[in-house]
Amino acid sequence: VKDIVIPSNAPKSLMLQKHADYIAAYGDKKDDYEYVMTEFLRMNGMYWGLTSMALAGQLDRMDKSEVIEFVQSCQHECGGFSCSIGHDPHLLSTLSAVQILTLYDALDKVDTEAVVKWVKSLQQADGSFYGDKWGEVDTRFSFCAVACLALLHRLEELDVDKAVEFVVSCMNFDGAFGCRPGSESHSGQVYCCVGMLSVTGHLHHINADQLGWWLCERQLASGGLNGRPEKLPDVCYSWWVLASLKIIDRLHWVDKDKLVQFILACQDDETGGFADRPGDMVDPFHTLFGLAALSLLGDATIKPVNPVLCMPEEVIRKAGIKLQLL
Amino acid sequence: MADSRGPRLLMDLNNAFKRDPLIDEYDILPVVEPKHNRSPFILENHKLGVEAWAVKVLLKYSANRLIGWRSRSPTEKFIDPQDICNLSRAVLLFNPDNYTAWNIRKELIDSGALTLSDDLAFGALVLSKHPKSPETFIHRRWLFQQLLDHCLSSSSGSNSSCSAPAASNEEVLVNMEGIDVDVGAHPEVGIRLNGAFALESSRLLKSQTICELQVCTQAAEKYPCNYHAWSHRIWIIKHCLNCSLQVLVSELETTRSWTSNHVSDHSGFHFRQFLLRELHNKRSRLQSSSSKDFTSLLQAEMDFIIDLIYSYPNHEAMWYHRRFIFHELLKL
Amino acid sequence: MKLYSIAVLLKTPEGKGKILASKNELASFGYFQRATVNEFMTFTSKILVERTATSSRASVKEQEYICHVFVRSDNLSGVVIADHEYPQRVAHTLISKVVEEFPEKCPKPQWSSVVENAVQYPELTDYLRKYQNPKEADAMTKIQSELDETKIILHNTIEAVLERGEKLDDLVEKSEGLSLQSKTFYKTAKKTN
Ligand SMILES: CC(C)=CCC/C(C)=C/CC/C(C)=C/CC/C(C)=C/COP(=O)(O)OP(=O)(O)O
Repeated sequence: VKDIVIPSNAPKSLMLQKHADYIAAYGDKKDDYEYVMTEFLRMNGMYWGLTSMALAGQLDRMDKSEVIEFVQSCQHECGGFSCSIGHDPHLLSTLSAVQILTLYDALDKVDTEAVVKWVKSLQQADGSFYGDKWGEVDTRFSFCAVACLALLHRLEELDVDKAVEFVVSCMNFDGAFGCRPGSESHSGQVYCCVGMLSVTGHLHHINADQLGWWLCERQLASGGLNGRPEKLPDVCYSWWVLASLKIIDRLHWVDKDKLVQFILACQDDETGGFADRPGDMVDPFHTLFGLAALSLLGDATIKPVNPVLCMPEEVIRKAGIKLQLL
Repeated sequence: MADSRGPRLLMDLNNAFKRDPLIDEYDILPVVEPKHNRSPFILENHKLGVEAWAVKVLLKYSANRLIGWRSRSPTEKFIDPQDICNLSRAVLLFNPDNYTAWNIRKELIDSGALTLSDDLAFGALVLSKHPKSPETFIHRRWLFQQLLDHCLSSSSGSNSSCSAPAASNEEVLVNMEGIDVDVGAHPEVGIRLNGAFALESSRLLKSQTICELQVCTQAAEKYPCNYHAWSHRIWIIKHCLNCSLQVLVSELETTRSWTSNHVSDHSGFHFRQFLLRELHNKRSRLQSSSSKDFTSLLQAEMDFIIDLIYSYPNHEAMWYHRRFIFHELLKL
Repeated sequence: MKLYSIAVLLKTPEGKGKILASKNELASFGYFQRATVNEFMTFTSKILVERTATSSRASVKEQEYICHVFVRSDNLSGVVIADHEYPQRVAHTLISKVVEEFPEKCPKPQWSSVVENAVQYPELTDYLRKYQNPKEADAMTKIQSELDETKIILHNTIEAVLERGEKLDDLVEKSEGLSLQSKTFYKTAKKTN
């Protein structure tokens, strides 16, 4: 069985302040090669970082006006947002942009009408969504589209029934979901599909016991979760799997103590931040999903997180967004 | 701070591809500091090696120029299409998930500055180093969609040999025997697609489709459990090969030995599940056209997996596959 | 499943690993990495023989590889490097077979005097090819029973095999068998992992 062994000297308690410091300092090295290499993820990266800070209760350490200005400068004429200035608009960065603006209660700072129109334009006759004008289809984009419009309170603009029909057509015999009809089940795609059905209130399409079983089978002896059979555990799956289990009310099916132990072991006690596995390099992506998973597991020092949108519950409540949970 | 070495390195990279258009592999050499009097590029046996420090300088320079041009920065107002092509190549070789750079190449294709087959060959090169790059596969699906569209529009009305979901129910005559032949060695480079080349476009689609299955296999070999390679293969089977019975059966045949050699590769087994499900949907035609019976195919699959489980204990992927077969048996 | 390397070594009286004959299959590695991979396979084979007790077998995981090692009672040793899919039993059977056969190629009195890695043992190439498919290579069932006398010790990393206070990083740094390029490769690969 492919798994890791947690080193005996791995961290055993949460170092929340270190993580906040790590994120706060992350944007400082703009001239780095790493920074250029990850530019195509900048908007998502900002969402990961800002949400981490919000979950740590330290969002006020970030430069709000700088962030909003950046988001504004990434909106294109078509309405969509790009990951960074000079890049092309895409649903993946558009959801992150809308999440960031919601976090800051600043949706009025951009042309939301244009966002709605653009997202709507990406829906296809079979209910699926293109990620951008070039025509790639993926259930990730179905999630991004409905999540965006839910945050904008405009879900009714879409053909929700068709959208649901497409997502359901991506369900496999094991109760889990893939990126397109007939594609392999993957926990990341499961999160997107379950989240999509939650946003649209169609969770009854899910066989919760069957899917819950498949999701629990992602837990390995080390306590960590993987994304598919015979893959190594990775902190980000703590989120994709756990959030899905939470939505379908099967969170208690995993061994929580062992999972917490695994997640904590992925912290870097020198630099702060979480890595995919103990001893690897940390990054903001794994930092957010490590913190968010610990929040779902009941760590009281982290703010409660919403399992569907991966944002602080209080933000979702204030925005008045209703999500279905089983 | 601009690095003055950038333009020079880009020129060296372009020259390497000019000197050897058949480069089929590249890599980053672990040299972190420039050495005096030594070029950071090595070209040997159609393989290109670039020293690590040079990759950093080259990528920063190329990405900044390319994206600067894209955002109409005053310093980069006009760049010749050939230079855009070269800049995006430099970026994508080392940063293949930079989707905007791939989009720029789509536009170069639309405007005729770049050919579909050249770009397919380039993407295959990128996959040799980054076998699971999702954006590279996404771009390839767009390229194949272009081929399909060309093929359909240029042959509408005539007796098309192209396949597309919308085309017809007829079995498509793709000679799957050809998969074993190394078609990949000679892609029909440089054929420009327009109405006048209808025949070529359908031939190109056919040969490229067969190459593509090879590209998927290579990527699956390089990176175990390669989600993107296998879901791309499914897309090709559906869209370019119309899920024809002949193709499904031959794929079931050819992936058998692959999976028995990769017994922990869940993606490989899932691909067979996809094939079996499609064959299940077509079981009556399967029976009438080839007198193969779906139930016996399933039985054979069960025997196959039992034998593998006995031979190679302790692999979850094979048990999942067995679970699937039971599911199918229950549906009969 | 893949088999990457077979090596026959002598564990010298000083406890050093000396390669007598070896063969690697490097086609699945990138062109520019092959030389480094080659050096690391030799390096690892030696380390493992040096740290495995006489008359014992071990299988050591290291990232996507598993190194199988057997040090026989007369200190003739074998190492097979394979991936995780490759059946452990078959790997050890192959080692047994090779160390059994080796004295025909090079009699015991010569082991300590021959030049490193210079024994002619062309059959290694055939084994490496044939055993890529364990089912064809040998009747696996037959194999199972033959091994039972010695049990195989499992280690989760190479670090776990090292003596107290030893660090893999230091061993790499000090090694004379690794070129500068390979050492740099090791360091950069570690950093971005
Ligand atoms: C967090 C919020 C609110 C939104 C994000 C919504 C999205 C886009 C989620 C993506 C989920 C995800 C991780 C999808 C998986 C994509 C996929 C098929 C990955 C397979 O790639 P590999 O690199 O092989 O990954 P593994 O090796 O871990 O399986």
